Amino acid sequence: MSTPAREAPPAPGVQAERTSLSWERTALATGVVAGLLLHSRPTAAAGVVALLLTATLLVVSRRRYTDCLRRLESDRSPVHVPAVRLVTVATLVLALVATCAVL
Amino acid sequence: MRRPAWRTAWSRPARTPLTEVGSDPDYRFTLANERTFLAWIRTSLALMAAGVAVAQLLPDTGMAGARRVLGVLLILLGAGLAAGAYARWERAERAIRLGQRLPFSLLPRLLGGALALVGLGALVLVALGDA
Repeated sequence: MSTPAREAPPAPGVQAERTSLSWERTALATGVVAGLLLHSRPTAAAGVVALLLTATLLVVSRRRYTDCLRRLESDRSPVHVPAVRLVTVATLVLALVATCAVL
Repeated sequence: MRRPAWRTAWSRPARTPLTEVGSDPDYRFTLANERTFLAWIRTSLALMAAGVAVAQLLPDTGMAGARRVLGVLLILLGAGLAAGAYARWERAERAIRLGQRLPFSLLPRLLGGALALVGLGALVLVALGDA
């Protein structure tokens, strides 16, 4: 059985980029929640908090990307526990803020 | 002496930090696991957006507080999903590093079941609102 040439492992940069895009989509999804909260006056304060979370996530996305590339270049595992924890906490904070705003 | 299950569930013996378990796996597995985690987080965010929209934008069906309850339920479901997403990611990464089979996750079931309930709730709201 011959191995097709295209089974060679893809360039690490592509994987890192795909993951980075996934991070950015997540940050933008936070932005959607922020937009909905800003839509009406009683929940606008919560919307501002959500916007701050969106900005934080965009910054984290960027840093995660450069960190990932650096690790891949030096042949280390790209796993980044603090970044994953930060997204989880940010999402939970958003849920709390949105619940308080809606109630 | 064995402690009751409900206690050990809350105070597990300190686990080895994730990056010290097993050995560094193929980086593609790690990144794929991370993207799956992010996809769950986006699902959770979409539920929260739906919850806010329901509480805010839906026309009043005449049932006081019903929209609000439905909205808050959606947001809380989103929160639960986010916490579950982290747990799933952590366990999967551990398994990948140890070369084990990926752990079973209840998340898809939770999401499906809860969405079915929310759908039924919305149906009741709409039916009662028209009556």
